Amino acid sequence: MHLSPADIQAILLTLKLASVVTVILLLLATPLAWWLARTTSKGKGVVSAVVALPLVLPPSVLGFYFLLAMGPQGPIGSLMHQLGWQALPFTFGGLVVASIIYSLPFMVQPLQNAFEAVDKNLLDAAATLGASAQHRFFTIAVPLSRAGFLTAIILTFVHTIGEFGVVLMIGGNIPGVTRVASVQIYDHVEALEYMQAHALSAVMLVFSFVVLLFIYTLRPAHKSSH
Amino acid sequence: MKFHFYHHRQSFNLDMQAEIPDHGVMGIYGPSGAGKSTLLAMMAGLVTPDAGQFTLEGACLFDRVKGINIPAHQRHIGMMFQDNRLFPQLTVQDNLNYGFKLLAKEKRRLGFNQVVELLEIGQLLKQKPLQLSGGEKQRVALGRALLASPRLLLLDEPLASLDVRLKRQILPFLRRIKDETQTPMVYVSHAIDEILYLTPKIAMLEAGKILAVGDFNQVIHDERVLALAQSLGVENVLHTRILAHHATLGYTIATVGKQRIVMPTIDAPLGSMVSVSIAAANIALSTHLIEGISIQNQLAGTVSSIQVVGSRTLVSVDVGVELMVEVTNKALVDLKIALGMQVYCLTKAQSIQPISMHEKSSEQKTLP
Repeated sequence: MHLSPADIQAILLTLKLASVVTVILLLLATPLAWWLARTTSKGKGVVSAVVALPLVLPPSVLGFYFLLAMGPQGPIGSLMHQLGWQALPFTFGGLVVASIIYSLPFMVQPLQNAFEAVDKNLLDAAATLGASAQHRFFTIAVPLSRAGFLTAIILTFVHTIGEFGVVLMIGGNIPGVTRVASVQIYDHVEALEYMQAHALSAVMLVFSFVVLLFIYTLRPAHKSSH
Repeated sequence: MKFHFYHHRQSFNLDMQAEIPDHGVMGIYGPSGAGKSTLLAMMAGLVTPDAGQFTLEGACLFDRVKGINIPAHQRHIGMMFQDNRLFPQLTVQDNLNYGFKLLAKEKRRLGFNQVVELLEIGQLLKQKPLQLSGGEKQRVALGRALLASPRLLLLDEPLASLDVRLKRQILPFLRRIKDETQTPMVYVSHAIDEILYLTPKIAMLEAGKILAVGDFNQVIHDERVLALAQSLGVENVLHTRILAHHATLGYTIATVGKQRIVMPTIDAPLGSMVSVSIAAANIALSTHLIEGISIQNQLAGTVSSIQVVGSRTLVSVDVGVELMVEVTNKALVDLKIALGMQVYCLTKAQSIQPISMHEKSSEQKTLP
């Protein structure tokens, strides 16, 4: 059982995609989760529902709509065309954008739960000590939500690695560009290369298990430390 | 400081207005649900009133009509809460530094070491809040608020979560803060003796309204204030000097003005000042000195005011300081008590409770 250069390429591409998506989502989802955790606005329900959609929709449905939106006639596609940018479908960039939407709830929800658990009284106390809203967030809310950040980052990373349907719809199957590990396994199976499929699948299985084991064994310890 | 706040939430209507000096300590007293904490939260900027104005040291911090609402973090109003609210992830030192570091050096009125020494928390600096006792947490919380050099310090029942023994340990610190840092304070409590230990100035609150503002001995003559105070228990707070201890019989003698009082043994050095409280209801009046009685204290004085509230009467007696005595209306008639009359205030030693322990007088400890 060994991995071919194409398999290695697929794994590296997968890790690159998951890393890029996780970093971007961390920046986008943190303010969104903070807003959801603190707002009393009526819009909260609508936003929460939209964020949770990727949890229930078949990935192919998501991928289909992405393809329409990003295509030459779609709103995003035509806007990008006017700006003189490259169309997104069948590019690494398109994969990143689609994965961000697809993995959004996995970043937002653990963060929102952690932020909701931050005692508002502590933030009030910090305000009376002269801390601005931004300073309160970074010095009180973020450190007290460490466990939530860890969970959100790991879940997002692992979930992005595991995506298949969206990738196939929006990214196609271009080696080194959009052919991630899950698609590569699919190709192996299609070609009846069961040993190859087995090797790559085993790598994904072990990796995912180790990461989840890390979350579920380390998290309680993190919680009790504060 | 001048404020007028309106705030309506469900069935609770708050409408409070007062003008109080920008120095010294103002006590805020009232039953739970009177709106004490909400008043402080509105001053601090943590709760936005529906309408009104708030001016501190001449600067407008809130004015609904003019659209002014300075955010809490720009008000320089410190707050100490009943539930310490120390940041659990930070050490004591980092908690103390939190507001201190946010302040430009030239705006810091107190030094870090000065506050640490004042509150005797030097040994705790490396610890996390979870490792501290209740009294230690409150001292650190007080230090943290002070180090932000507030121009006003709000204390929201800071001792309510502590037992009597800890209260007695912390109160002297609050007095040192008042005497040595000159930080103006608003002190909220439902324990009148705590307030009177720190200040005679008091605002009486009930059901979202301020009934009266002024010296306790003055406002207590307002009928509504008296009725409220009586329902919560009128307390006398006396500043006494320890004269002698009797170890085997378990009592301490102290002086109040020129008179002596006997109370249960207090752990305080001879010559030191200790504040004690006596409930007005625990003092009896007599027209002459009684012999052959187990009651240890008979303080001579003259009646300075008489006020009837329902079936009870509050009699003020000048025994060198003013002592409030609660008697029945019948006793008033039976004894023919009248203004200027010479009486004796009888109270058992056991009825006298120390409020503070190990009080250090300001003269003994001066700061650099």
